[in-house]
Amino acid sequence: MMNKHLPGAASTPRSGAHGAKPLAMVEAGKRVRLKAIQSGRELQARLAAMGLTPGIEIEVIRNQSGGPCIVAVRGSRIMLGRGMAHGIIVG
Amino acid sequence: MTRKRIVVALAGNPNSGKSTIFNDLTGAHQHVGNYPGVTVEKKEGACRHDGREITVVDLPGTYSLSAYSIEELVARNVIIDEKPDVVVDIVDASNLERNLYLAVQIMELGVPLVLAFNMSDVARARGIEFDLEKLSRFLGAPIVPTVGHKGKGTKELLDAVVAAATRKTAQDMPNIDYGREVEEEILKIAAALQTEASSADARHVRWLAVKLLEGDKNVREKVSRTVQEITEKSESHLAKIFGDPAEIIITDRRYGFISGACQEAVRSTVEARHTMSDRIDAVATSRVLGLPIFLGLMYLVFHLTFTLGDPPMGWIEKFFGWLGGVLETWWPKGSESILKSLLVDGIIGGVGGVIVFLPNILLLFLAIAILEDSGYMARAAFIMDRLMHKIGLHGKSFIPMLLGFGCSVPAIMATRTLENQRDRLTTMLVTPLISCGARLPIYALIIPAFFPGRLHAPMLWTIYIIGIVLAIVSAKVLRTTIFRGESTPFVMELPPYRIPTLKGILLHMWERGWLYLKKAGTVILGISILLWGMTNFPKKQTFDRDYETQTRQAEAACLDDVRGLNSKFGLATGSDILVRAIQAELDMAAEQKKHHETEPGFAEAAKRKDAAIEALGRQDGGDRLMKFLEVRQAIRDARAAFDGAVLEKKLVEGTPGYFAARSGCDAALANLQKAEPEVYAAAIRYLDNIRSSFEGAAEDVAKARQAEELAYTISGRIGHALEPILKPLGFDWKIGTALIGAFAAKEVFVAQMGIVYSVGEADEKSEALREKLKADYSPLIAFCIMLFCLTSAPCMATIAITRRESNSWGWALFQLGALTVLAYVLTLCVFQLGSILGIG
Ligand SMILES: Nc1nc2c(ncn2[C@@H]2O[C@H](COP(=O)(O)OP(=O)(O)O)[C@@H](O)[C@H]2O)c(=O)[nH]1
Ligand SMILES: [Mg+2]
Repeated sequence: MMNKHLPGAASTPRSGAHGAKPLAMVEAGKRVRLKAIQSGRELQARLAAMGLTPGIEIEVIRNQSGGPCIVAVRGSRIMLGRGMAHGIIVG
Repeated sequence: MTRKRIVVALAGNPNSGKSTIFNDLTGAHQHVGNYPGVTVEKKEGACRHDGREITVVDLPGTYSLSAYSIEELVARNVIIDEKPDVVVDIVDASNLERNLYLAVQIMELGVPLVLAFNMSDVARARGIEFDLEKLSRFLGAPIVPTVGHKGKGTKELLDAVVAAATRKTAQDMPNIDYGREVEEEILKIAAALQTEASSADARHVRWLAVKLLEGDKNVREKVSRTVQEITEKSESHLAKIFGDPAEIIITDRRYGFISGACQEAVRSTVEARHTMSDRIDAVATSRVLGLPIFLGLMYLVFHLTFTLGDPPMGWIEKFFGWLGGVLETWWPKGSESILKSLLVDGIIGGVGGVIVFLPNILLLFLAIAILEDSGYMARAAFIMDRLMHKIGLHGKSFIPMLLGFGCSVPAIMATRTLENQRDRLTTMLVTPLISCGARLPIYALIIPAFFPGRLHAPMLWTIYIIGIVLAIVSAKVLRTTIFRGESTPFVMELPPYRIPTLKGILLHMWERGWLYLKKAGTVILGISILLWGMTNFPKKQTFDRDYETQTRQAEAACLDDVRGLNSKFGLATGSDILVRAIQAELDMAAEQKKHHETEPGFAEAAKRKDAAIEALGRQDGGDRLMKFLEVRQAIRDARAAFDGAVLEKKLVEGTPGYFAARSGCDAALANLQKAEPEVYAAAIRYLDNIRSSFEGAAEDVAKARQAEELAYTISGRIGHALEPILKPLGFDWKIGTALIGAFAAKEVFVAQMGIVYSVGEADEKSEALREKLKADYSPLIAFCIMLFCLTSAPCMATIAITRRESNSWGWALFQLGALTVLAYVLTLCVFQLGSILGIG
């Protein structure tokens, strides 16, 4: 049930081939799957508590360059700061 | 069994309706405070049910019970340490999966749990159906559907609470199965914990083990080195197997448990929770319209707060003025009673000065409550985030800073909407740099005195801009020094838009307004009394100059001039009847100063004067004297009629109405002049030269006396003592003394300068005061005064509220110190540089 990527595989530069990219680069309206959160444990835990866990499907509602972005996850709307949107890898 | 008090803790996600249910349960029986040592608000209330006393503790709204935020830690510690009889988790039933994450964590703690499925109306409207019995079995807790704002289900919720609290045997709480690999590690850690701890029960030990695996710092600090080592080994073991840190796996399994339960017990037609909200957001957060809508709403908030609040502020001011007037009549007029001064100037002045802001504050919090409860506040944060991010703060910090233009006190209170401690403190500390409304009178006094008309507006703007720039720079500096740390990542839920309930917003408003009155009120009362004492004591007994003689000299000079009038309208040059008549008038005025108008002494003095003048009228030349007095009275009446009309009808120069009144007055005067040209000329000379210059002289003497008294008091002495420090800024002791007054409230600066400069009734329009200032200071110093007032020590109300809101004198004093030092250094640089460059 945990289709987890191995650490090495996720960070290969060629991961773009599988469509893995930071959330910040996904246009509004797209549905993507969360692959990994590149941040400290603290932040991972906070995001997880709000429903953002690896494997979950998220929809990007709003994503403007320079500003925060809004995603729909597990039935709620979450706003993520720009920095964080860069650390969330989706595919 | 003893029927002891039941203690209930309310937990729940933000926006799940926790406050609504708390208010519904406890009504007016609430107590708001702070958890010791942190800025997290602590609310407690009480209610009765089935004859049982129930205490309800409102925990901070959280998504989880990890130790990553103060709110979560507080919530968790209350549950673990204070051991409430029952924990009620308010769950947003229309967003079940995410909300149950917290419920599952409370379940793991093994405390008696009751779930309130709030927003059940919304859930039903969305076509979500629950098999409550099955869900209840999965989660090991009774479930009660509620509709918070309608009060539905409250009774059933309390029934469940009482039942859970009185149940004899502990309920069989299910455990989450974390999978073979993780469970093995949990067992290892639990075994190690068990050998060390003697009394801990199995469930708690398991919880500790899970928390250790999750990397919980708070728990880790409390266990032995051996347990820590075992945990580390387990962690790296799990990381090797799964390729992810243990806490990710644990979180994932929890959500897995929840989805499993929901799949079996929840049927949902479609996910439609946000359709309406999303449609509003398509406009409200759009790139083009988002900012204009936000600015429009902010303008409205401002308008509400500082315009609608004006009339009630006037009423309150009038009320305190009236109250002071009433109290004053308790003492003989002109009495120097210390008690009277304390009551009228110290207490009524100080407390009134605080309460007068109450309408503003209530309206402000009304507006904020509407924005918050409707869900718009989160959108505002979204819109402003881009800009605020540049200074290391989040979008949410913008709202308090904006309110700072009105008054720092409500602005600092508005930082409560910031959940992050570092953001909150940073915002709190820099907000006083935003130039508040009370500082405007200072600029209004100084700018016209020193700068030509075309520079007035640019000067005022410069000062405001300097304030904004300083706030931005200070925020940035604070964020890179004291409040360093990775810029707290911005994550926030956008709750669906809801129509706020009247009860909800009124309660919100009142709660905060009351806090302001109660806490800030007591502190401010204390400080007002202190400042009153400082500007009144010690009392000077013997004066350097003989003011009485000076007053008498002025009077003698006046009478001399009056004697000179004799020959002008047909009195014998040596006649003293006019002089005696004027003397009688002056005596009456002096006597009347000692009495209230209602006292017999007041009327008696008038009677004595009338008798004296009547007697003089019978003497030689008496008819001329009476003529003089008659014409003088007629001139006074004509002028008073004109002034009265202007005041009453608010006539403005240049309008036809004003012109008509003016010509009416002129015609009356011309008639008088035609009838008795000599007497008229003498009366005019008396009124416009002799009398007015005497009054001016008497006033100067009185104010000089006041100034001497002030210099003798503690605040005067401090002003003098500060002089060497203030000299490099171009300030003298007078400014120093006024700055102490400004600490009480910024607008006091102007009044205090008036006293120091011996100018009667100083306000920001005072030309006399401006003249004196111009004579003493250069434009450079004037600018430095404004700069210093803008930046320096915020007023005591701000300090008091910072103390309250940060829950620490440390931060309040830090704010006081840091801003004063900043003001000093900045003003020093400007003045010294300006002096070197020869500006001013
Ligand atoms: N439709 C609906 N709205 C509710 C219910 N309970 C609370 N609300 C509204 O939800 C909003 C947020 O509630 P609040 O108590 O402030 O949430 P908190 O953040 O958990 O304290 C308010 O506008 C409430 O009026 C409910 O059962 N149904
Ligand atoms: Mg609330």
